[in-house]
Formats: sequence, structure tokens, C-alpha cells
Amino acid sequence: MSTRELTRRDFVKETGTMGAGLVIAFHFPFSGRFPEGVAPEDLEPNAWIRVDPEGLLHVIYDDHEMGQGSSTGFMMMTCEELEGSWKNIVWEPTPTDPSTWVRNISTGGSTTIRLGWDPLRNAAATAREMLRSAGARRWGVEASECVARQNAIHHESSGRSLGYGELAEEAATLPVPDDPPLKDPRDFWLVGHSTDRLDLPDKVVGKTEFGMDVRLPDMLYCAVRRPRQFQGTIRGVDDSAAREVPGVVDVREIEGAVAVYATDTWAAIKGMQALELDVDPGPNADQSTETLRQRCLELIQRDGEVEREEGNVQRAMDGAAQVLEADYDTPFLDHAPMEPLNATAHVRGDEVEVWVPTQSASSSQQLAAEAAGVDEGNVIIHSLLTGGGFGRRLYPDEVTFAVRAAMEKDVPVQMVYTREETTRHGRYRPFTLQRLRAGLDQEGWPVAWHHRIVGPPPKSTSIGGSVNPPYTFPNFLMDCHIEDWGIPIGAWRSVGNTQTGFAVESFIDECAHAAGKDPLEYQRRLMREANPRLLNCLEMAAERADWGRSMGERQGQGLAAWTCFEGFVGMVAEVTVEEDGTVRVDRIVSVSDHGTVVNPEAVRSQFEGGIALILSHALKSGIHIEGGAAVESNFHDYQILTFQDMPKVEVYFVESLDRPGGVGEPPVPPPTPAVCNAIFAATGKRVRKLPIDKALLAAE
Amino acid sequence: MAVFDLMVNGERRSVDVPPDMPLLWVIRDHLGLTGTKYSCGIAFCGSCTVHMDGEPIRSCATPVREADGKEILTIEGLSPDGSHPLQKAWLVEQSPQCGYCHPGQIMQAAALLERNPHPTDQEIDEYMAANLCRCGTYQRIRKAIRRVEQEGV
Repeated sequence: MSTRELTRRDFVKETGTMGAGLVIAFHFPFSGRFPEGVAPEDLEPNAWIRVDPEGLLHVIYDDHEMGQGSSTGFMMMTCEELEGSWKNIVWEPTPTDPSTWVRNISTGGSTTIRLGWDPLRNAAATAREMLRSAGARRWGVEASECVARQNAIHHESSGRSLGYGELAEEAATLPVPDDPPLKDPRDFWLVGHSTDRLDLPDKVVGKTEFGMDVRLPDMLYCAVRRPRQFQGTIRGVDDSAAREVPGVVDVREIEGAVAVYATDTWAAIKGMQALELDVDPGPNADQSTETLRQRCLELIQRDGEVEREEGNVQRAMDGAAQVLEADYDTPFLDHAPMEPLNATAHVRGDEVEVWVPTQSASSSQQLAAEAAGVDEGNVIIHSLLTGGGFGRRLYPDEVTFAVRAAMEKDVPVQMVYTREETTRHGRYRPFTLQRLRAGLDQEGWPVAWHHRIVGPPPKSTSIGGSVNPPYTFPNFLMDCHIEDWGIPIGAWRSVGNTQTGFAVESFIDECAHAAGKDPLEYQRRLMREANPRLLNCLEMAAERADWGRSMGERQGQGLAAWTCFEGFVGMVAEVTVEEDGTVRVDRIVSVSDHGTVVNPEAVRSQFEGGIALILSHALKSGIHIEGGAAVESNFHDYQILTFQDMPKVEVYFVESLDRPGGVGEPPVPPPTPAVCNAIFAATGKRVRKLPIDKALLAAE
Repeated sequence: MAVFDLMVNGERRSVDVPPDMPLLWVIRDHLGLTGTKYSCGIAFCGSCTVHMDGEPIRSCATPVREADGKEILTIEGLSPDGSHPLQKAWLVEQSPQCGYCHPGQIMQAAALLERNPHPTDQEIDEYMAANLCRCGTYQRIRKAIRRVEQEGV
């Protein structure tokens, strides 16, 4: 893209005509930070707004849409600040060559809206001011007499108007304003108003092209078989039965797997299942959930690596009126997106083309290049909409296998992991053992807090959220043991915070009860100074849920609050525990504060969905290990929430004009501890191991 | 291999495939209708739901030989232009997130309303219970069904 540089300033880098209207190029920082020692003006642009001569407003940026709705939010922010017309917005596809891109093309960490807010508004305001100047020049009047509104510049006193399309070329020749004024949020007519998502019309008629829907001329379908064991290797294969399957055209051993090629997916899967693998189970053949737990119990006795220490926890514990201690267990979790992992690859000499529903076009490109032994620049990545991500599609191992399989053929190859392969070869949320200890004074207030975690690397994924709990503790210690067990780990929506939030928010409830205090009162005092913004959410949730009202037999309320990714969330759960121990979550009331809510209905969906996602694993399932492999394989044994399990979810937002915070991840940590605290209120029994074992909750 | 005649979305289609091939793969890979989705392959999640002679079925576990001579309706055939009341209500309620399971959800819901135009919430939950959604859109699906039930939109 050739652009003409007109000025150097913070976000807006260049404008140019490209022969196609007004182009504003700007830089959209990764993870909210510019690289060390690099000024924003030194960076190449990676996002563009283009006002074309037809008046259409094209937005080119690099984040992936996986159902979270952030693409629509991003377009809304552009349209708002540009004073465009919503029907003129054009959502452009993700760039296909990430190697030319100045940042990693990757979507996670609830970043699109919160990190896009400033640079995008600045760029859109720049375009708006240049269009205004162009209108003023055309009429020979002062720009201050002109108003931008609904995709046009208006000269109010003379009643004249010119559409953005008519002004775009001329605007591109004008100087770039240094400090374009941003709109007063109180004047927003689009941001903050629920707007229909741009991706939905195709989704209700079956037209959306997901990864598995790619169809290319002469394409072969392919399924791969790997050892079930994470550390297993293939010693040999008998493919005679596989080759007999009608539709199977070939079987090849590729690195790490055996690939079966066929004329349709069914034949490929059937052939793959007919393979007889001779597998070396590898070094962890005796590994199981039980052996891992034993190992965790060993490690948790010892001092770990200190992540944060304040005061003297040991001395404070020694002087405490009472000391509480509890261990919390969380299992591995698979993301289980509804669309199984898949990728389609076409290798032509040293040129590679990949179609993949992904959260990371950059990682897809890197893995494809590595698999094919070519430069990244030789790999084209077509990013498709994903049938769910939740973090799993940040690790596109399916691209590696698709490319390896495609290298054996001169036609495109669509490689699909079956549901079983998808589940057994996930990138799991960590299995952890967490030990919490608190020393309470005479009145029951904590004088010391010690959180110790044993889990696998990466460390942040095991301990995320535990270092800065939202409470004031006079003495604090967080330490950990991080040990690699050879089981693939990944970011799972809210990254660390689901397991640490469960432990911390359950244990604070234990402390409140040990102190003989109401949990809300207890949280209020401990959070008042440490995190008033979070406390406000919790208090509002308690009010909306009528906290403390009388509940029926074996019914209870529980509360929890958590903050991550710049979202602050308080929740109250209401449960009924049946006589046999079955837990029914009747209602969840959520109040959250994440600044400006760009598209309220879409954000509400994120909360409803985040709550459902994690309740699946509070109530139903986890990944267990046996023989160095995952036990669970499909939705019959890795169960997720159904219509009948779905509680009544009420979502409220704190009104705010602040910059937007994250909304994808923040809803996920609080539901589990809120539910477990409600179970305690209903039964007097404390859940410290997930998923909830109903046998422990049955009436005696 | 054997030849099967299906009426798919009102059109007569012949395929020459093994008799045990699930209807899902016939629809997706041989007839090119990719709106019907594969997710579990064991009739457990409902993403592959289509109608066969008016009955909602799990196409991933229905051998094509059972569909021979039958009328098959997929999401592409539910309406020519997305104008089925459920599709419209789905947009009003902004029901999908990733949207992958939603063709199956809509087909299951269409079968429900044909049998029971005025289901209670409990009847909705029971009829839809085996259609899974990982994004957690159940509440909005229920509202969309309720909207059609009440307003016919």
C-alpha cells in the first residue's frame, strides 16, 4: 500500500489518496504498549480508514472475529467519531500476509475495543476534520461554520451539504490536523446504543464460511491420527484396513501423525479410525490425574518461588487468633469450540496458501512456514470466521498438520481433527492445586494471606490473578511451583483467573463464615480501599439480587467479585441443591463496570456466554488424565451446559463515560465461586474441587 | 457404493456413496450445502440437525440409506432469503455469537414450533436440550423462539 507521508504524530501516520479517496493510516499498538524505546511515530501503520469517492467508509484492521462481536464495535467507534452513516461502513477482510504486518496478528486478551479506542477515535477524528476543511474550502467559508453529520459536511447557514464521497479526494490533499478534537461522549449517537452485529445475517441462513466450509477445486479431505498420549510417538502403522475404506485415496506418514486422504470427510475419518498404530507411549505412560495430584501435594508442602511478598506473613499467622487453611483443586479444561479444529492448505512448490479459522493469522503463518520449510512471506493466510475460539485458536497446530499433509499432494487438502482429536489434543487450562491460608484477628479480620499455587508453565497461565487480589491484607505472600508435566497448556478465556478467582473468592467466603460475618459485609470492608470500583459492582449486584433475602430449603445465595483485563465484575448466584446433591443454578445477577459500553447487547451476550462457558466446568466436566493421555473425548463425557442447565442470567452495567475495558474475559471468573458459595449457604458444605461432586452434597 | 435419490430443499438429488455414509457428509461434501455443521459426530450436540420428512434428525448419525426417497430440509432450504420467522427473530434477539451451532438450533426450533406453536419455557428447554451451544446463547435462542410464538415474527 503506497501512502504519502504528510506529518508525523502520535497515532495518525500518513494519509494518501491511493487514487481512491481519503486514507488515514494509523498505528494500533499490540497489547496496549509500544515496544521499548520506540516512539509511536516511528512505527509503520497497521490500520486504515478509507473514505472512498462513493462515500463508503472502509475499515481495515487486523483483529479476528470469533463471535465476540468486537468487529461491529470497532466499526461503530469509527462511524461515531467520523460522523459517518452506519449503512456506509465496510468491514474489510483480515490481511492475508501477516509477515508484512508491523504487529503480531492475533486476537486475545479482550483487547480489540479497549486498545483500539484511542488510536481509532483519533484517526477517525482526523478524517472528519479533513473532510470538514475540504467542505469549507469548496464553499469559501470557515471550517468552524461547517458541521459533520451523517456522512456529509453541512454549511448550516446557507443550507448547503456535500457528501463525504464528493469531498474525499480533495480532503486527502489537505494538511493533517495535529490535534483533531474528539467528540464529547455525551454526544454519542451510535456508541453506547445497541447495534445489530454485522456478522449475524449470514449466520442465521447458513451462509457464513467457517473453516470447514472451504471448498476448492480438486480438494482432498484429510483426517490425521496421532498417538493419544501427549508424549507418544508412532513406531509403525498398519494402514491396510484404512486403504480398503471406499473413498480413501491415500495414506501417508507425516511428521507426528498418519494422514488419510479421501474424496470426502467421512471416508477420511473412517479411514483414520481404521489405522492400526504401534505407539510408543513415551515417558509419561503412568501419568494420571492422581499422580499429578500426588506430585502437587508434595510440592505444595515446600516454599515456592515468591511472586509478591508484603510484611511478614509467618509472624502475623503466629500471632493470629485463628488460622484457616484450605486446598483447592482445578482440573485441566479444553476449550471445546463447536467447530472442530481444521485447516485447508495448498502447497505449490515453495508457495503455501492456508485457509484457517483462527485467532492468530501470524502464528498460523509461522507454523505453516516452519512446516513447509519456506519463508513466512511465501505463506498466504486466509483468516475465516471461527466457530468459537475461547483461546484455543491462538495455537494453530492444525495448520502444522494441514501443511504437512498438503506437502504430500499437489492439490489443496482440507485437514479436520475429529471432535475426539480436538478434545484429546487441546491446549488446556492448567490443572492446579492451590493452598490458601489466612490468619484472622480476634474480630475475624485477616491479618495475613498466603496463596500458594502448583501448576504447569507458562506461569502467568497458572497463577494469573492471584498476585493482586482485590483486598487489603496487612501481610501478603503469593508463591508458586511451576512444573512442566508434558501436557499442552494454553490461554483459556480469562487466562489463569478462572482457577485463581475460584480459590480466592471461595476462601474469602470461608474466612467470612469463620469470622461469623456476612460475606458482603466482609468483602465491603476488605475491598473498600483496595478496589472501590469492584466493590461498587458487588454492592450493586447484591442489591439487584436482594442479597440476604430468605431462601427455601437447600437454597442459597453466594457472591463473588473479580477484576481482570480492565473489567470489574460482581455477581450473585442463587442455587438449589437437590436431595441427591444435584446443583441447579437458578439465577446469576451480574453487575460490571468496564467503562463505556460500546455495543450493549453484544456486551450482554459476552456476559451471558462467559457465565455459561464456565458453569459447564463448575457443574459438569473437566479433562482427566490416564496413561499419559486425556480420558475425555467428546460431548458425552466432556459435557457442557444445556438449555435445561442455563440459569436466568441478568446482566447490568455501571454507567460510565470512561475508556472501555475488556468484556470477553472478565465475566468468566466470578460464576464458579459465587455458585460454590451459594452451595455453602444452602448446605453448609464447602466445594473445593471442580467439577462439583454431587455425591458430596447429597442430603444425609 | 450405491445410488440414493433424495429430495433436498425441494430439489431431486442423486448421490453415489456408501450406504452407511451419514447424511451429514452427503449434504456437506457431495451436495455442497455447508450450512449444516459437523461438531461431535455422535448425535450428541445437534449442530447437524436437518429435517427428514418433517422430523428433526441428527444427520451425523443417520446413514444415507435411511434417507433414500425422503424429503430433506436444510438451513439453506428453510426460506429462500432468510425470511423464516425464526431467522428474523434470531436477528432481532441477536442470538448467535460464533454462530456455528445455530443452523442446527434454528432447524430444531422450527420443528418444535411446527409441532407445538405455543410451547412453554419448559417445553422449549426440553425440546432444545440436546442442541448444545458453547458460546452460551441459550437465553437469546429461547427469547427468539418465544418472540415467534407470541408475535409470529
